[in-house]
Amino acid sequence: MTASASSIRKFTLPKIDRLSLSLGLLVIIIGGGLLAPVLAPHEPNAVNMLARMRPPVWMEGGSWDNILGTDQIGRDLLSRAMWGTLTSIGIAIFGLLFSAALGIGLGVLAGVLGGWFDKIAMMFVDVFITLPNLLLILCGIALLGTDVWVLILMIALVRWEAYARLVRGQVLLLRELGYVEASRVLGGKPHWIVAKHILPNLISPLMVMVTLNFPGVLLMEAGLSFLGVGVQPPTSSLGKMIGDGRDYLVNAPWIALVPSVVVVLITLSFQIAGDALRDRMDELNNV
Amino acid sequence: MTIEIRGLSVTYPTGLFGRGKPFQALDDVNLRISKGSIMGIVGESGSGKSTLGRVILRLLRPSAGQVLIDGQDPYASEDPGFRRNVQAVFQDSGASLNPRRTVGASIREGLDIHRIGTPAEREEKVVHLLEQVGLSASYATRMPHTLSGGQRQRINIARAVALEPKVLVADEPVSALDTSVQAQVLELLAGLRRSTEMTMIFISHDLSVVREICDRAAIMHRGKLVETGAIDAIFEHPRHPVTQALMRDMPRLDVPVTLPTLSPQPTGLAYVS
Amino acid sequence: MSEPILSLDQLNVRFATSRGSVAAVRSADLAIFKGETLALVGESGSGKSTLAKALIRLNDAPFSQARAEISGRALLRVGNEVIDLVSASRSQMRQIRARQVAMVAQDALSGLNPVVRIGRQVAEALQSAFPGLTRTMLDDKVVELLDEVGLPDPGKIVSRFPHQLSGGQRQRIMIAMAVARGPQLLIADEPTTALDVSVQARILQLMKRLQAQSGAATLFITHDLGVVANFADRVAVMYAGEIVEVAPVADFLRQPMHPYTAGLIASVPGSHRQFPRLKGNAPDPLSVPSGCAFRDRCPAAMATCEAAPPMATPTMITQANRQARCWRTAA
Repeated sequence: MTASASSIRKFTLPKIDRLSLSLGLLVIIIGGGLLAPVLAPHEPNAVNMLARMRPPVWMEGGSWDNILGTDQIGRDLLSRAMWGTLTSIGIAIFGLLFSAALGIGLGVLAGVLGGWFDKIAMMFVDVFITLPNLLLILCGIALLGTDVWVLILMIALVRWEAYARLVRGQVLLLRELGYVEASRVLGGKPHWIVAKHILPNLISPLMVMVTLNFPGVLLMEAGLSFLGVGVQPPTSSLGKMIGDGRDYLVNAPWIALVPSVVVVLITLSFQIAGDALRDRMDELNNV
Repeated sequence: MTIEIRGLSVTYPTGLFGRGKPFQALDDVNLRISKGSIMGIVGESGSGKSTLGRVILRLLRPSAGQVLIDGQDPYASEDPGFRRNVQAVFQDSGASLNPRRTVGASIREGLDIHRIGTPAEREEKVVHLLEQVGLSASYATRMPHTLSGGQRQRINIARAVALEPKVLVADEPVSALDTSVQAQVLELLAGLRRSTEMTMIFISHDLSVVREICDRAAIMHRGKLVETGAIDAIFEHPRHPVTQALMRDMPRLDVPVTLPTLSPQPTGLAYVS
Repeated sequence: MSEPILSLDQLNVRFATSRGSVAAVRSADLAIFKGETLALVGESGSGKSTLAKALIRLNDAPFSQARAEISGRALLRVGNEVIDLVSASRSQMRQIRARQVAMVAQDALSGLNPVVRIGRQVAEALQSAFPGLTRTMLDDKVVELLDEVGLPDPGKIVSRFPHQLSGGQRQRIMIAMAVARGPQLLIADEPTTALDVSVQARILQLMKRLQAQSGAATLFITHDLGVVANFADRVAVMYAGEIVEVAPVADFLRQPMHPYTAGLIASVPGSHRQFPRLKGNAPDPLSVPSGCAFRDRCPAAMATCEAAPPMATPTMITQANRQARCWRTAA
């Protein structure tokens, strides 16, 4: 198996470079977002009608004052991109955490308790999978309003069932292992076994899953904000910026392109990093 | 502790919706194991010997009958002390150890679960246990996958006796080990019985191994107990046809062995024909 | 009877592992004669399985993980020719695996394709050996073969899948597939280790019968000395990659010549114990002691043992020969 895999690998970049490259890019972008309060050259909401619709510095008419240009009411795009990144990532992270917590919690309970609880929990999960995500979220927002926490909750509901199923599957598998049975014989109660033997084994697959899901969650938020049902002004996120720039695609395309490029770079880097991480994990497991 | 098994049965439903003929993993087993003895449970795969072990360990609920350990039925009351009194060593030494935990952490697990002693005292006990099973204290920080089958089995034994149990159930503890290592682990178990007076239940398909270490043996076939007796009696006068068949099929080294004559000087390799 | 069917001449097998280069088989010299059963005995890590697999160049196959470096010679006598298995080409090896040398592995479940019916699998195995037969002739031969190896109701078994049969039955099928091609050398790698004692006894009987009929030689790899005593004609013992003793079985059991072998026999449950049992563990293949590999554990070790004792290379190897790789016990 390893022999044929390594022969295919000849046609892609060596893994270590993919990982460093993608991680490096992520650090720069996310770092920029996190440090927005400190590093942003301008206030993101500072209106400056004199500098409106200024293109990025490398185009004609650009200026070093606004490196990535300004939008239709003169707000600096670099600063807005940085703050927007912060918002988008913040929402995505919280969404993911809630998602994972819900999924892991239910998965562990279903796997450990088994019986009717397991059956009911899995039926619940199956129902959720069939519901169309976007519709569900829109209904939720319509019912509960557009507060940012509602948004996070809705996003959490997007992929939680994947965690639940993964964790439940792992628990069922691990339950049968020799050392888990040995622990039972020693007197280990269920909470002990879950804490000492099951959860540590879940960390690797969960990490991979989280890494691979992150772009999806980010894009979900971006999509919602683009449609106008995500974050509301004055808060801005990358998705919202793209939505706002829609009307100016012909005259001032950079208004929408700047945030779009950021989103693409983030999701691409996550994908590559997640992939490389999974490869690395597979290698370790084949020791 | 004496163990009394009365009318023990374990039945599994088979077929669609359980309407097939039920499978009797154990069928009305009656056995008495006296305190401090080593009882061998012998049989082929499917005989029910492992099932019997699991019932005794309270891992599997019987469909009928009782297991009384010093007069108490472990299934009747949720006796918290049970786990400290009845411990086990299983066949697959590697699978029994969590690959992400050190040897010391695994040996200590029973002590940690029952909160016996202070953490420092538990570490000391781990060192003491390692010595008891013939391994140096440096093994405590090693990881299971770096060790051989024999070493891992010693660690499983150390973990089991950490709780100073009165009963030890060993399910094919040496079957997966090399011949020379088998002998070492058997000696270890025999030595432990001598020093602690544990009652041992030794499950195996290998009669010659059972002969080496057990006082008495119980032969099982398809869930039923077909013969019991003192070990020499069973070997010299097997009564039941199943026992006789097992004896007949057992590959034996009957040839009396004289061991090499060692010359005091190196002779160079003159060739012996 | 006087010329060996397979003779190994300084066979070495090395593996490159992540922790360094490992010599799994070191300077093996061995001869196997027609019609005999030679048991290759050793504990885990002794190199016995590696030796067997190297003979049919199993590591050469596509999709194999480890790359083995094999040096030395393994001379197989085929009719009037002698072929060196170590340097033979891939297509030559394919031919040899099809007609001359067959292998029965330990785990029959992994040797059989779980999604193909038994009849088809056996027929495929026969095809390469009997290219002229029609489909119906082949099917008949399959049923005949399954009957020959003692399977009840062979007509029904051909339409079953491997998992529907017991371990013993699967092993009989593996044996059937191996001997059907009329090999001159059968390599059996622990074929009965995973089976119950009674099943083992019957499988060994079957193998003996088939061997008597065909006159093939069998290289039987095992760690079980009881099986050796009851089944083999000669025995070769391996330790840390080297062959340390070769002898006819009766002589070997009556009086072993190598301290490791003696310790091993003494370790068998129920054996008479005038010699100390083996203590300690076999060396890590990456750090085998220099000189005699056994000297750390040997109760008879001397200063001279720091130099590796050679195995005698007699002018003529016969089946009555005894050899031991030890400074102390020769003559």
